[in-house]
Amino acid sequence: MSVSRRRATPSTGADDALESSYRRLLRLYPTRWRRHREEEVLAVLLQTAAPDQARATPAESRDLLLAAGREHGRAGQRTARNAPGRTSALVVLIGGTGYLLATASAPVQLQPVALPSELPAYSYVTQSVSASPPGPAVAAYRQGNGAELADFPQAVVVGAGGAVRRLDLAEDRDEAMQGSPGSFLLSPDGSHVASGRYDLGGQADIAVQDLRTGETSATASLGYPSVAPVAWSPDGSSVLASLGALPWLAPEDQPVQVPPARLVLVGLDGGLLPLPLGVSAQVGQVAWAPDGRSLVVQGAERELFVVDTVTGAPRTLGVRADLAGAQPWSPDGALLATSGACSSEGRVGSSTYDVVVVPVAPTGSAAVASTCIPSGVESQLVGWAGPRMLVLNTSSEDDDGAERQSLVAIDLDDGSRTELTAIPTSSGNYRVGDVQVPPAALSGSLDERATPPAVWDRGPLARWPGLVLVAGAVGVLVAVTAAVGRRIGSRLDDRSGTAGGPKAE
Amino acid sequence: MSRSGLQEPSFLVLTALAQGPLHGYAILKDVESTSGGSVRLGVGTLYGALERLAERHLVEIASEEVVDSRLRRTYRLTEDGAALLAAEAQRRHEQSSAALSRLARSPRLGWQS
Repeated sequence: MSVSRRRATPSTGADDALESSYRRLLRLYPTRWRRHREEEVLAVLLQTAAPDQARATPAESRDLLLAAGREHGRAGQRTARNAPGRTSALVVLIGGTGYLLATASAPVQLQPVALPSELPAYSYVTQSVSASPPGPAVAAYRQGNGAELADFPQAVVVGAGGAVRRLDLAEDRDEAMQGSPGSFLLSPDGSHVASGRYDLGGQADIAVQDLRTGETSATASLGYPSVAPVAWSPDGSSVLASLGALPWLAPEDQPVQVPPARLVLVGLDGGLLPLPLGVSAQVGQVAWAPDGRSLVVQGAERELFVVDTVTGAPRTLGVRADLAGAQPWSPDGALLATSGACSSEGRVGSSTYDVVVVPVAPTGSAAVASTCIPSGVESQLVGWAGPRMLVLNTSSEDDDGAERQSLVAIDLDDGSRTELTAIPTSSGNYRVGDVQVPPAALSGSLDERATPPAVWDRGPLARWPGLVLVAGAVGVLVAVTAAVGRRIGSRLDDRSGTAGGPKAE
Repeated sequence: MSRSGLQEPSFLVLTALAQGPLHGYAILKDVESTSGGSVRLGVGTLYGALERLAERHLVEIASEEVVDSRLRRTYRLTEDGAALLAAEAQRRHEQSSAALSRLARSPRLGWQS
């Protein structure tokens, strides 16, 4: 196979040293190239060498090194053409390992102060909060409902440090929800999430997860088919939950006997606390004022009252309405967002979908007129970005016409709109809902939005890449075994063939 | 690079082989002398160019012999190689002519042809 390496003329020590110096460099070429070229190129190298040269010059080394690199590149291309299976398995293995290493570090945990200008789209490879806590969240939402052929709805939280995680607490509480995650509510500082449950047997509970550690606590069964978190206290130490019947069934169709609906207060450890002073367990909707001292509650016939929890005194607002969203209070406590209809388009049946902002004037002050913001069925109130700046979750299109869900701040005075952030929805397939953002992050986003990362941190090796990585490893193993088998086979062939002399092309 | 384009080392190698079959060392010497000593191809660069040219069937092995116990291959142009070299030379010639004629019209740049 190889040409004889003996020289016809008596060799000197310098010649031998020079030859082995060249051979060391030629070893860097691909095996296939060396079989075909090494002796020929070595001969030319020795011819071009200066008479007293004892080793390869730096220029020669550089030239051979670069050329060897190019040959490896060409050999790689050939391999990819001739053995696409082995090449792709190798690419998968290397890529998967890179992904594993790149995402193995714990996420950076920051306080939520402003939204990124874009939030992560739907993905099948997002790791869970329990497996890799993302830290305090800058946003939480539901997405994936309505994805054709692959309808796996998710609840996700986006950590202020840029880590996206599936809210497995809510996803595991999806009984009677046809795979859709259970109800969830992000605490005002973004550090905790409370998640309710529907239970056909009437034994639902509520659980709270710390997004910084992944630790979870849950109440005992509360004796109702439906438990939903409705209002975190402003200091994040407790959450009000409403207990009741399954909301989509008429009272006579409920699977179990349901006691009258009521409100409970749950602590972070899962224990029940006494209700705030002046708040009855029978009220409908409820929301804490930003001062942490008063609450708005919905009494009989949907009448709204403000309750001072220090004195226990209620004061009627003279309005019958439902509260709009989980953060209806303006940051200064002067306004309250309710659900209403600005026109017939904001009304479907007996329900209303526009936002009516009503003043919460202290006793004796002059009444200020309410303001109606036409938002329609497709939009929901997320909260407030300023004392007179509402934030709606609404569908929109980006510059290229792709559909997405936007959080838009609307100025009550001049009606101007500012987009705070958006979530890509892949032509509407991955519908987004239930968007929740801590109040501080909403107001912070008005001035400055963070740049979203080029690639979202979706956690260390979520299930799917793990499987792909294993598949890649198996593929490489099979290919290597086959290659070794072929090599042994060809060696046996060589031995039985003729020997000696340079091989003709 | 486009499929028909020629990198500089390949052009020089084809030019050397245009006078007849040569072995590797002779190609290096010819490139050096036709460029007036200004271009010296490295051995690695030369064989990279030869590999690419052989792959595109622009050059082929003319003969193979053992001289002083060392393998020596001689290469020659194929018909395709000769045609491509002619086309490339014509292209370069036209470009050079265009450059020279424009410079001639701009005496400000100090070139008089």
